Amino acid sequence: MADVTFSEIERLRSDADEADVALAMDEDAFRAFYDRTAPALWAYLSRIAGDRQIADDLLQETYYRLLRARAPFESEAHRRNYLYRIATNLVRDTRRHPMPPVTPLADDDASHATARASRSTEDAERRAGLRQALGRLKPRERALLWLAYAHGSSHEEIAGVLGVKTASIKLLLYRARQRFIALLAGTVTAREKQS
Amino acid sequence: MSVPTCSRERDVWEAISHGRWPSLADDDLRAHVDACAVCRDVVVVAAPLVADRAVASAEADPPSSAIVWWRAQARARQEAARAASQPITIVHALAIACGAGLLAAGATVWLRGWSGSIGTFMAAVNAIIVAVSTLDTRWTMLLIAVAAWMLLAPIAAYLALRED
Repeated sequence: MADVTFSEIERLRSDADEADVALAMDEDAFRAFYDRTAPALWAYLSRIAGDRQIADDLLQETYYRLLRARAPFESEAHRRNYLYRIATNLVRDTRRHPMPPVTPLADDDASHATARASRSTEDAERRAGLRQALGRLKPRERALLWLAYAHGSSHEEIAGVLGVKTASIKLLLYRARQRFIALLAGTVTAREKQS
Repeated sequence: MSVPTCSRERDVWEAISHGRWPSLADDDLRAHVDACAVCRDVVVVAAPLVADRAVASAEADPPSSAIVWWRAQARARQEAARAASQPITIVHALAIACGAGLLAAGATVWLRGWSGSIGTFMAAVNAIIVAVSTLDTRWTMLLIAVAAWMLLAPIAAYLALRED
C-alpha cells in the first residue's frame, strides 16, 4: 500500500469527523474488504485499461461507487462481483481508444528496478508479446479472459461482472480464447522474424 | 454454434494457477492435455495470464484503505452539501426572476410616458379593483397571496443568502 503522511491522515480525519455521511459499509468492514480485494482489482484495472494511471484513478472511483451503492449484498462474493462490475463499467466509460500495443506498465517506476533487473530478456519479450496480444483484443474480450484465466472466475461470476447472460459466456469465452491464441502466435512469429 | 468444451478445463487451470503445471501435475492430467485440444488451448491462454497476474499483483501499489475511506467520506459529504444547497439556489433564481419581472413592468410603464401616466395608472388601479371585486373570495385571497409573495420573495431570499 502507498505511504500516507501523518498530516494528510490527520487532515482527512478532521474533515471526516465534521459530519457523518451515509456509506454502505462501516469503516472496519470496508478496510478489511479493501485490503483483501484492492491489489487484485488494481491488477484487473491495469490490464483491462492498459494504463497504470487510469488504474490508480479508477480504483478510488470504484470503491467510492461501491460505498455509495444501495444494493443489498448477500455475501462477500456478491459484493466482490459487484465491485468488478463497477470497475468494468468504469473502464468501458473511460476508454474511447484501443489499448496501446505495448504499455510499459512495470518499467516506468524506479521502485521496480530490482524486480526488473532480475527478469530475463526472454521473460520480458514474452510479457511484451502478451501485452501486445491483449492490447489487440476488445475490452470485453480482455475482461473475459482475465476473469476466466487470471482470476479463475466461474461463468456465472463473469456473466454478473460483464452484465451478460451466463449461457452466452461459453461462446464468448471460446471466441476470445481463439482470437487471443492467434494473436499470441502472431507476436511469437513476429519476434522470431525479428531475431 | 456448438462450442467445444472439456470437463477437465478447471483441473488444468487449477494446476497452472497453483504452479503445478507442467512438471508437478499428475501424469494423468498431462496425458489428457496432450490428447485434448480444448485443454491445450486453456494451457496456451491461462499460463501467460496467470504469470501476468503475479507480475501485476507485485506491481500493485494501491493507496491505503484508510485514505480511500476518508476520501470517500469527504466526497460523500461534499455531494451531500451540494444536494442540500440546491433548493436555496432555486429560491434565488425565482427571486431574481421576480425582480426582473417587476423591473420590466416598471420600465414598460415608464416608456409609455409620464404625461398620461397618472391617469393611466388610476384607470389601471380602477380596472384591477373592479376585476378583483368581481372575483370569488378564494381567487381574491390567492391573488393577494401571489402579489405578497412576489414582493416578499426577493427580500426573503436576500435574508437567507446574506453572509453575516
